[in-house]
Amino acid sequence: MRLTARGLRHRYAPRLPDVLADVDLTVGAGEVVAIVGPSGSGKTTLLALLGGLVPVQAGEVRVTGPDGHAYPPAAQVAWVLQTVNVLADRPVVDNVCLGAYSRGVGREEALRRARQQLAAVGLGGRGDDPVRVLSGGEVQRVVIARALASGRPVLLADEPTGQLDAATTDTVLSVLLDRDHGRSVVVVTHDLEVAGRCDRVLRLRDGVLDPDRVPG
Amino acid sequence: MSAPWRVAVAAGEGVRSALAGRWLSAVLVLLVCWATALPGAVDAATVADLVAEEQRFLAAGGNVLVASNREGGVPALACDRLAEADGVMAAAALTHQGEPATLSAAPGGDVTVFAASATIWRVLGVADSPARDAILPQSIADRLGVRDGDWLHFTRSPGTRGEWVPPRPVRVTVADMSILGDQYTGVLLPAVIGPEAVADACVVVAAPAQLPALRDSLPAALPASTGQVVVQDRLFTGEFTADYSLAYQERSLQWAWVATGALLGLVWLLVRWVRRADDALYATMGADAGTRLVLRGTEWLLLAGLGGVWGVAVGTVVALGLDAPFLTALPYVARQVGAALLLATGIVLLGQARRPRSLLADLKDR
Repeated sequence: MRLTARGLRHRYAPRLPDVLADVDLTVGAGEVVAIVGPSGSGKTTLLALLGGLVPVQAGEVRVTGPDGHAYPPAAQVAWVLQTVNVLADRPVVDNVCLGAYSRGVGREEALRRARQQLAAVGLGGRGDDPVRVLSGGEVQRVVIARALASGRPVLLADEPTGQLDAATTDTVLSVLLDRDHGRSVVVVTHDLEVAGRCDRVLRLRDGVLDPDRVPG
Repeated sequence: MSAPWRVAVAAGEGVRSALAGRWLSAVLVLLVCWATALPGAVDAATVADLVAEEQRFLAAGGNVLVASNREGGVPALACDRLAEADGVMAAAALTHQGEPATLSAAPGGDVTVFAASATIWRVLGVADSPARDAILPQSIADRLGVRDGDWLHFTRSPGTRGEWVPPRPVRVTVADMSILGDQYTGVLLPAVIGPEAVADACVVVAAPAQLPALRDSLPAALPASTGQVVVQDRLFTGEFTADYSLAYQERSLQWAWVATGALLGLVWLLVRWVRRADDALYATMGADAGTRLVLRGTEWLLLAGLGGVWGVAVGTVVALGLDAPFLTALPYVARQVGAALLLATGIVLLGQARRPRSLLADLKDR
């Protein structure tokens, strides 16, 4: 799947300045793109527009398949957000199941896929624990497992390793950025190590997205 | 690729959400239970009090009207036919016989004798019996040691002509005559007044709600050749002054379910607002508005159903504690609980159908 944004412009109130101004972005199938920039530069807003969390005011966002068919972005996007969005009183596996439910599967199949993804992020033995007893880093891994369980072709991640230690960051990134699955990934990050593992790094400055560099 | 959630999955998620809610779920169940049970119980107790009071009113003859005409009497046939009129439960003509009689078993003790039309059995609520020639009030029967079905021989009282004394022993029915009051307490001789006769009075047992209308219409229904038909309540002590029908219609808690239902619905909407981040999370996981409606609707129905069942049980027990009989308590409590939950469910579904303002803001709890 290819994610394309053209002429994205956004402001939160009529009297406020534009947060984003004519942003163009294309993320190819299986490509991993990092977006970096100072706090308040509009990185999260851009991510929200790409995934349909915020209505597009000007411009357009498209997710197109190999045959050129366009799909609604919101239904093709999986999220790993900076704010920890989990059902804290529910078991870990139930949280990850939510991702699988979005593929139209039943409870049993969702449980199977959830346990598979939990094992991939190193939480194979914690599936039945309530999320509220997990550490911040473990919760973030639950969120990543949930996004992966959704099987959606586009993954949008906002500081996905912000709460993880170095060793866990490496484990999680290897899963999150696995090119073998063909996912298009956009990662908003301050972490240079994370940015360094992406195919492209784009800088967002004053609402304008500038191509920065291609790592390696 | 993405696909819609299965309905069973959404409903199951609602059930799991309710079970995982722990304290919140418990508080909601308790709130539904007590908020519906207490108004229901008090309303049931109010109804039970009204019914009991009305029963005392009826037992004392509060729904009995006496139509009389000092000059021309009242026509017995018209009186008997009143029993077929709307709002009339029974009617019978009565005439004071003018002379007392004496029971041979109790010489020296005179009893007053009244002639009655054949419909008197229905007025007294006693089974009609052609084999019985007299009806004796319980109070006199107790004083004389007479039991129902005994044979009695009446004799002429000293100084009277004995014109109305039955010549042969008669078999008596002992009955509660309190509905007629002291004025007509004595030996009744049923079917002595024929259809063509003119009686002293017509005793009418009315449906309580029809009393005011009958007070007005009875004079016209009992046309007299001379004189004026006067209608009086059998009770004139003012002991029972309440209008039970009006009191039932105007009881304060009968509409409590509206407030209860609105309260519960709004509480759920408040809970929904507090948990908006969870709903936004479901939305990002492909749960569209219909799926979220099934999910939260299932959760609500589970908690409300559980609270409602407890509400009926608790409300009924509380109503029993307030001296309401079970057959009054259960339907009135169940009605309050059911109506409140129906209204609350409507509010819940309407509120749940509202689109979130911003998924991003909801996800960030702001």
